[in-house]
Amino acid sequence: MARLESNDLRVGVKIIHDGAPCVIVSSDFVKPGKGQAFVRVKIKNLLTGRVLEQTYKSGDTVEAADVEEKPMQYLYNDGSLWYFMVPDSYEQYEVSDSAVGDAKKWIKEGDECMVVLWNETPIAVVPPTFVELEVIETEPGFKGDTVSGATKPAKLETGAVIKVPLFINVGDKLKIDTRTGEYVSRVK
Amino acid sequence: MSVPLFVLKTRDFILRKIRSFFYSRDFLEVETPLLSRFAIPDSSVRLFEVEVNGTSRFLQPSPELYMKKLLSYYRCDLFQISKVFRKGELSKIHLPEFTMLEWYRVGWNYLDLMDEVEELILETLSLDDKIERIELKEAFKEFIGVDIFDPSEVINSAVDRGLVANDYYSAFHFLVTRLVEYIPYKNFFLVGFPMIDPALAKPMDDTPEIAERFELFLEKVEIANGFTELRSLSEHIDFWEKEQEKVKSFYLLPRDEEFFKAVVDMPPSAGVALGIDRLLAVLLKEEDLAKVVAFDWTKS
Repeated sequence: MARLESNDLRVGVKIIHDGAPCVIVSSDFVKPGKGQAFVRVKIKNLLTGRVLEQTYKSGDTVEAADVEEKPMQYLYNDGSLWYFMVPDSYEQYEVSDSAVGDAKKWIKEGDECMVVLWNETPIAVVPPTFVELEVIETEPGFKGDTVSGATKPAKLETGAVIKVPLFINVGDKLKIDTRTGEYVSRVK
Repeated sequence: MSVPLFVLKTRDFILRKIRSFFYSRDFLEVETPLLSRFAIPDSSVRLFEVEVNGTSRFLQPSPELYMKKLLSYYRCDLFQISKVFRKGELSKIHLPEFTMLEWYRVGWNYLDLMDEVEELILETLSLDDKIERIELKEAFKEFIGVDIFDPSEVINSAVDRGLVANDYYSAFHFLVTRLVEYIPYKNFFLVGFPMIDPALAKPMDDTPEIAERFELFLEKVEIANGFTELRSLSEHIDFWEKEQEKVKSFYLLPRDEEFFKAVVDMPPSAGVALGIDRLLAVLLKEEDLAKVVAFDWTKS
């Protein structure tokens, strides 16, 4: 497995820590006037999402993680596994429920997602930044109150429940920001 | 130019203050070669090696070696403000090229010198409060819960706190970075350093595992490092050979026989190095050194 010099531990680089793939989210050079130099990094475990701080000696090497992001189309799920396909090669990947994670709140069959592969195994799914989903359940809407900022819950076709303005009705199509899970606008 | 004029005026003010402090105390201001044939080997510092007229030179990482030759020959109090260069050191509090103040006092020890550092800082920064002195051994016990001289305790505690290494030297330095955060003062001196660093400090007579050495922290950032000078020739030679061995995969540092001669003649003395850019950053309440120099290294 490829190894990285600790001095190359920059933000975005993927490494193995405790047997798990991690991405570096911050990196600082630490050195006293006399004495050992270090690289202090914050790493996010790509399997659990947990962030922790680690300090490596300057000059030491760290195992690189073979992590790759591939655009894939979501095909369907069979109740336990989720199936994705690379559009160019038609190559299909089975993705576990836990790897799909929160993405399942937003994706519909046919959506193009980013699938994160570690040693060719899918470990995470990043949904499109914006998705358009239909409201299947909410209190009846009423006109007029568009500025007060009041909200109500609405259930979307994927099953996710989000906060929406009071004027939204069942059957409306909404634009959602999947990074925050927030309503952006109604789609005409 | 992106640096406001008051930043340069503050730098100018600090440099004038420092120079008048030393002139009024009858110091000799000196200069040493920036393009130096010799440097004290230090496994924790990487040097810039440059070719000058077919010979190999190093951009001086510190004026220590040449100032000690002057100290030994002229036997008087010396100071210098100069640029120093360290390869691979870059962060908000590290610049690969920075300005260092270094001074030596003949006949003094580290305690006398620590008092003088305090006077200089209080005068330059117009501070009133005395600067706390903190013993490392006690502080390690109180804030980290380990015996600083027990390598396995130090290593275990460092690993528990996220260090990926298991040697005493690294673990000690890692824990010092943590300790500095826990100490309930912003400005303080650390004393009682174990004799494990590549520093030519004299060991204490009664407890030779501890160096006669201090470090000054302002706003929790290391500003200065000083010690009673080591004068034993055999210990110098041991030090040189040990460190030379550790850096030889990077470059060959020739033995400096003139320096060893100077060590033999060196009067009892104490010396200290202080980072001017960091001092300026403290005065300006600026966290990024790139903002206290006229030309940001990354853009100039």
